Amino acid sequence: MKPTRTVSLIALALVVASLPQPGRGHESPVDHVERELELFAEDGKAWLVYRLRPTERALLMEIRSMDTDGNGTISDGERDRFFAGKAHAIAKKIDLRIDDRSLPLEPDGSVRCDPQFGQTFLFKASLPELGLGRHPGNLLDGHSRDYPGGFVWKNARRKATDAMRFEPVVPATPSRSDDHPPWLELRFDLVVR
Amino acid sequence: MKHDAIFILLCLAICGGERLPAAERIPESKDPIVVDGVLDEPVWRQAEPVGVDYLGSKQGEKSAAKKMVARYAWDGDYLCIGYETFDANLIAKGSGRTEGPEENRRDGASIFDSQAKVDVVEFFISFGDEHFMWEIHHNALNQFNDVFCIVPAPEWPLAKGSLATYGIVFNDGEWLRDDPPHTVARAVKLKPKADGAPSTVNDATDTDTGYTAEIRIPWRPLGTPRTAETWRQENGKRVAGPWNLKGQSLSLLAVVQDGDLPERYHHSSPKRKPNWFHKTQPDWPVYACVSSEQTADAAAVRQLLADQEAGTPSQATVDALRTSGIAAALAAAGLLDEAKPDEAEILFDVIAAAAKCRRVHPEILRIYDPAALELFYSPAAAEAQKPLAAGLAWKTWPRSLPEAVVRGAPAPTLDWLASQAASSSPDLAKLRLLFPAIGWWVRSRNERQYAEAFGGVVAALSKNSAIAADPPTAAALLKLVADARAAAAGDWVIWMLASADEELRQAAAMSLGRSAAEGKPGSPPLPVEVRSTMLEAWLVRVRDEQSPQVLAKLAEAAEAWPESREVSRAMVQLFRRSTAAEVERSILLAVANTRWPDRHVMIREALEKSTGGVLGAALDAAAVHPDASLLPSIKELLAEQPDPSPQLIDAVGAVGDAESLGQLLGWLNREKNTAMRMKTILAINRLPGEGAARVLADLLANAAEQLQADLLCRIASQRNLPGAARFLGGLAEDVTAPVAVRAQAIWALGNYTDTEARDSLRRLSTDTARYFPELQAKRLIPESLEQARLFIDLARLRQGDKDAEAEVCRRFEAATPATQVAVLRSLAQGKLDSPAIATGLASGEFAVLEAAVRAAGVAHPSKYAAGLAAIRQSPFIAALLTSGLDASQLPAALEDATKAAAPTNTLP
Repeated sequence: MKPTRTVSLIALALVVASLPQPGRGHESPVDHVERELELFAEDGKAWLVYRLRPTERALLMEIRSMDTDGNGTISDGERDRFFAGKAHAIAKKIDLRIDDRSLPLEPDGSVRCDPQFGQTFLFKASLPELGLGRHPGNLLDGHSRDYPGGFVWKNARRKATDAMRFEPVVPATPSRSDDHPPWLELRFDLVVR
Repeated sequence: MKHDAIFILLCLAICGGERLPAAERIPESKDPIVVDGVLDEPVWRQAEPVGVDYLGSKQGEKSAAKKMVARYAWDGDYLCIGYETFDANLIAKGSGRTEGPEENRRDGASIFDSQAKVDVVEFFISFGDEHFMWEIHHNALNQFNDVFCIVPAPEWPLAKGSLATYGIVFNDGEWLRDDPPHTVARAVKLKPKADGAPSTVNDATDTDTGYTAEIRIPWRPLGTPRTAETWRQENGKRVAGPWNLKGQSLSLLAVVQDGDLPERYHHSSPKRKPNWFHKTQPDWPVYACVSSEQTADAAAVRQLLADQEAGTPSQATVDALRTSGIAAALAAAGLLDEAKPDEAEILFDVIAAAAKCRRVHPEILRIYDPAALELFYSPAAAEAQKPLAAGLAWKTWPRSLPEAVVRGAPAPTLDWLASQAASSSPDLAKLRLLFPAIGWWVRSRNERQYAEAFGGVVAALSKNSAIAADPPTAAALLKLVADARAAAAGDWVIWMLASADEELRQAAAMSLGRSAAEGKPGSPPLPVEVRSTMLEAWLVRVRDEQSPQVLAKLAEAAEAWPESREVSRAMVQLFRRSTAAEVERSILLAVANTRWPDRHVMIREALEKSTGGVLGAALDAAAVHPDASLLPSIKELLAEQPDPSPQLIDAVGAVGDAESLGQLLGWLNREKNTAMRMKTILAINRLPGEGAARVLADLLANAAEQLQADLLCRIASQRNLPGAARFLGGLAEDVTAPVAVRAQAIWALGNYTDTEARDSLRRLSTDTARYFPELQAKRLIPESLEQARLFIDLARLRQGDKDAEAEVCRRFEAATPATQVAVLRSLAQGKLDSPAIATGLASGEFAVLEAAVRAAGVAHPSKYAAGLAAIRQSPFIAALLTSGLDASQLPAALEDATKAAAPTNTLP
């Protein structure tokens, strides 16, 4: 019998040198991370709740980085120092703009770790004086460029009665982990009433 | 230690490790309870209803009609009791006494009146002491008694004294004190009758429906253990409270008297024997106070059950449970009830899902789910897991039980398996249910704690004659032996190889092969003597066996000895005598995965005589093990087949016969299928000589398809193709070409040192922005262009331009992890050393680390020996390599790099 003419998968075990290009983030070889973002305004500040869910492999690599004394266990101090550093690094990577003005983010409080292996960071940025009406803004997430993955833009705290609220300009459609852009950008209006 | 963990341990210590049924948990109220007799606070919905229906005169027998439902709750200040009665004729009468502190006087209730036939509700409260307890009474008129009772042991002098009536000392002069600002309070709300008006007390002319009531009692006057007492500073003063009752247990018996009934007493204990209530304290229900978080978990699980029953499963409930981690499993375990199999199915599903986290490294659990760490790793873990394994003792197992117990309760599961191994009549059906769950868990390398223990108990089970005598159970156990690599069961597996049952011989062959095979990194090595005993058994069986099915399994098992001369010879003999295609195919598949000395003999004979799937397997094996001796047969096949198979193309390329170039090119020109064309180009690339290089250069110059251009650029970056630099330069600078192809072309240019290649890279380097106008992402332009410059510098470095090295390093450190991976892979391919490798070896990103290890091993292994050793010694890298997580090529890369760094070193 003649062998069947099936085409097997071609293994291209050659170098992959990639230049930045408009593509899909899921092609990245790095461990992906799921994200949840929530923006709200309160007490004259913009707040960003930023939750990450790294893969189990990435978590293992993270605790290797946490274990600065190399004793194989993570002390509270090692954990807190690691997350404080990570919070600052993420804050630097996120560019929040309103009325084309950059609002530097800073971490607020400690990171909350949850049993779903989630890490929730809270960032804040002082809002400038804003007149009544709509103020266009966007959030460009450079951390998502380094570590791509699916995301959910939550707006659970937004109420119609809020004096200031973020309203998505581009619908906040959740993105599946296998179909997400190479980096995350949220576009919104900050509505002052 | 965290509070949740303390709760679990205390709870189990107090209750002797028995599971706490749902009714035996008292939830914490987050908000104060308003004592108005109306059970409308959220905590009353979370509290499990306690039926007060057991007949006072009989043990364990309930009344037909519902008599009363009680609920209990707690907070940092009070024990709270809520209850509901259903009496159709409410009768209440005062005792004529008034008690309590001056500012909180309470009218007493009559608790027995043969004429008036009063109704009264009673609660007996004790903190585990059968001699001292509070007895409280309450009625529909909100009258209230509190009596501190002593039940002296018979040998106590008090028992024989005048204070003891019926063996009980009723201190009815003692009353529950307030603990300012916390006060005793109680309230009643009469339920509406059929006409909507409230039920009436002491009016026999109408039909009542009962009443609801609330009672709150401060913790201090109840005699609460001082371990639950806390203190705080308030305005510079030390103030008591709130009480921390989490994990505290107490005995609580509820009693209702309905004066109209001949059987007037009903109570809440299924175990109590008829006697004075005071004297049956050991049989009262025991409750543990649970935290509000655990209360919420239990409420969510109950909601899930209710949703399922109503046929309206709610994603929100499932999501709520997911966020709870192992707490959801503990909450579910608290609700397990053998009498409710449908609910148990769901509850074990919840446990199995939540307890999957046991596969996670304990240090991760320490950070993310400390309660799980305590459950699985604390000294009391075995006891703590018992509630999750309650179903092991049930007559019928829910479908989801095996997964749940293997994941969530490994210690009790191991105990149960050991008891089965020692039993003369093991439960074979249950063992068959449990084996696949254990096998999958261990085979998937999820078992971080008890892999050896599971192996041991599997060996013990194999020695049980009842199991061995039952073919279905024996077959399941053979599979488990393979999954668990239970070397200690090796003798039994060998014995089963000679079983009269053909299916068992197949299972034994498979088990033998998997047991004898080298384990994955971190697996304990099989003792040499065990391996050689297994080999001897295999050789005997393969010689004597007649069944093609068994022989096919034996051929698969032979992969366990990939370099053995004896196995090689035995396989040749089997191949020659076999007439069954499935056996021949199994042999050739095994040949592809081994390095047997006689591999080429078998491949050659198969190429000469085989057809169909066997020929395909032979060609696959030829592609893996190319050899000149195979050439005549392959050429013959080439001549016979105008349309080649993918396997034949691979084999032609692998044997590297330059004379086949014309035929391959002919196929390429005729072929329309892109994948086949790519395969053919790769085969041409494996042919030696200038002819193949020229053909590839021509194909590059004329490539029209993106995939083909990309592939040819990759080839050009590895193999010097004549005149390729001009085409590569043109492609690299072509702003209309796809960026991915241009990236490959730039890297390939680094492989050429002629002027055209150098000039092209120089142009790209000096005016990068002009050559990459499409990198127009707002606010990310600098970063994107930096990446483009990085790859151009990398190609210049490959050309030997030392000036590029510093630029590569600087840009590498600022690059994204994905770009770093690409740079390190490029360095490895070009065998280039760069400080970027040391940076990569320190990375916290797995893919970067792996690429750096590979680059270090190729570029300059001895220079990076210390860094590689540090990676190998990291406990967390070791944990990654021995886990079921995808470690990709890291183990092999580490081994190769380490060997290259110090050739005498071997991985442990």
